[in-house]
Amino acid sequence: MKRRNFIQNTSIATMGLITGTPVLNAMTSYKDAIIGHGTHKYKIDLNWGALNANYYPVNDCHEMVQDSKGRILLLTNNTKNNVIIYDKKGNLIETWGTDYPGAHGLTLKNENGTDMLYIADNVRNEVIKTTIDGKVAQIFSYPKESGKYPSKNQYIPTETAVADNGDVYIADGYGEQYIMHYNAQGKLLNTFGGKGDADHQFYNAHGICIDNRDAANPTLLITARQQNKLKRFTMDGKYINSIDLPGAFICRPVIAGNHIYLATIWSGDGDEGSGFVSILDENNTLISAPGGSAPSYENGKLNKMHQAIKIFHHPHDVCVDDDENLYVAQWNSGKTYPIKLSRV
Amino acid sequence: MKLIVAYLFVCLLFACQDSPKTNNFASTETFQLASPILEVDSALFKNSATVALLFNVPNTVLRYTTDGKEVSMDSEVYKKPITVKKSALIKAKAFHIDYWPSDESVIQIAKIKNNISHAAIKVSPSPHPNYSGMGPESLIDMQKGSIQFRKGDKWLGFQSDIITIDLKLDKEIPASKVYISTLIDQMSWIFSPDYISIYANNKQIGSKYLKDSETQIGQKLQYIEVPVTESNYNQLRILVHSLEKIPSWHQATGMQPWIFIDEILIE
Repeated sequence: MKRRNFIQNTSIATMGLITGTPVLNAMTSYKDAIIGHGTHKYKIDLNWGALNANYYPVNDCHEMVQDSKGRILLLTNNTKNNVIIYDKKGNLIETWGTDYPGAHGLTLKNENGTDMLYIADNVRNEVIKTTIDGKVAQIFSYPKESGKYPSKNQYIPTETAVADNGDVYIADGYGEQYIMHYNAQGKLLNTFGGKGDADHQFYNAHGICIDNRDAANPTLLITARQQNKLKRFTMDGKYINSIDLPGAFICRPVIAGNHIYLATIWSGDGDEGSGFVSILDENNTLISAPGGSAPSYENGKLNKMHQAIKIFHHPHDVCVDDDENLYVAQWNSGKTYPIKLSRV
Repeated sequence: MKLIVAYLFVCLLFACQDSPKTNNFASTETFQLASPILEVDSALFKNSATVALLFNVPNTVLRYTTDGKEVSMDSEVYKKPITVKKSALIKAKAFHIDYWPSDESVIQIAKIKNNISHAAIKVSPSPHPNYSGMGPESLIDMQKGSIQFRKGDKWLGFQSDIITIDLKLDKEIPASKVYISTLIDQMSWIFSPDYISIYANNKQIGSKYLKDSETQIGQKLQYIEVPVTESNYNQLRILVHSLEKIPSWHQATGMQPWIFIDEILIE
């Protein structure tokens, strides 16, 4: 696309040279694309974090987090370098990880002043806790003790959330759709959810996070991606309510400030090549959809969302940095590196 | 000559001076609009159908055609839902001053003569449990599936060599053509059938080879028209034959392709 534009614009410019001043008009028509709505609008940096794929290849860019040093960590299921660490400008700092063929979920929790990572691996069928430089600290293997799983293969974890008391929640988003609740020592305390249409059940419980915007009353937010819903549960696994996002096949919720950010992997009816980013405010209202249609509500219901501009190709996660810029990791996008959105 | 060189130089100078592109941000001209969503109340209808266009993006203009012609800047501007009274191929496109126009959205709507939704239908083997629609009756409920097969309950999906569909009609109807509506989505391993044969009372009354079933075409809704011996029928057996395997150009070469069917029509 870019190349095509370049050629076209070059030919316009050449024509301008021949005919005179129209060249000026051709040049001035360049303007930065601005996407999103209301208070949350962004410019697009397509080249952020692009590396030499011979040395630092990616397959799917699954998830991204920012660590307490301000660095941006990318998790990919390429075992040459499962974790790629950048600065905010997109310069490479370091890489590690060759043992995570199904690297899918990346959660960072600062535990007593130390950044720890939780990698949900859907090929290894387990969650691996590591230090920030990749030393394995703990493994949450398949929850045989739950009684829900006859074998390891039915358990395909996609995401982890860690509470301030150290409790660990794992979403089995590609397996039987249960949520496992462990204490910090790895003892299974509770199992809830499961596959189905009921309020407390899921189709594609792809992501989970702890909503601590009300600090006195934290809750769990869990994605039901196929149902275009975000479901809220108590910390001990009781269903509270749902947020409906029709047309938005959302991945994990990411809380930053008073807002929830969600990469939206498909949009509309699940169209090939679709997707955008969803941003909800403190009332859980969709207020901005970079790359998507303008959110509008009628009688308290969100009108069905769809892609507006073909910028993203199946966004899989969004990372919000300390300047409120966004980094969008994409699935099945032709092994491209993440896209950065700079807040305007 | 000197004058021309000087003129070109001045032009260049202006061109450089005027180029404001000094940052890393992508310009609007890098991107294309997504295609508008075409919604129809019933893609198969007896009297009329209503087609609505959905594209909630500020400053865009939607244009459409109903005669199958490509949508251009001269095509009709969409203002409100369109009522259609005969079979039509409807195409729509979104335009915006800053972005490239979208690809076309296309929908085929068809006026049908015979309502066969009261027929008794049997399908063997059973469709895959993930793509079993609302049961075999999905094939005669006059409800079209959309190209987004993941959502919705209209499609029956199979991974079998031969799919046998038996129809027992509640009365004799005159027929000269049978339509089988299928989905092609090759990246999702869903291919066109290779061959269709139709029987009545154990006698073959029609057949069709789909010579392009191995060709790379991406995504498409396909109506397969099979001419049959003109007569009155009260029962039909339709055999849908799959390609033996996914062709060599595809990443899943050698695997068994999927077949997706959403509707059968008798004309």
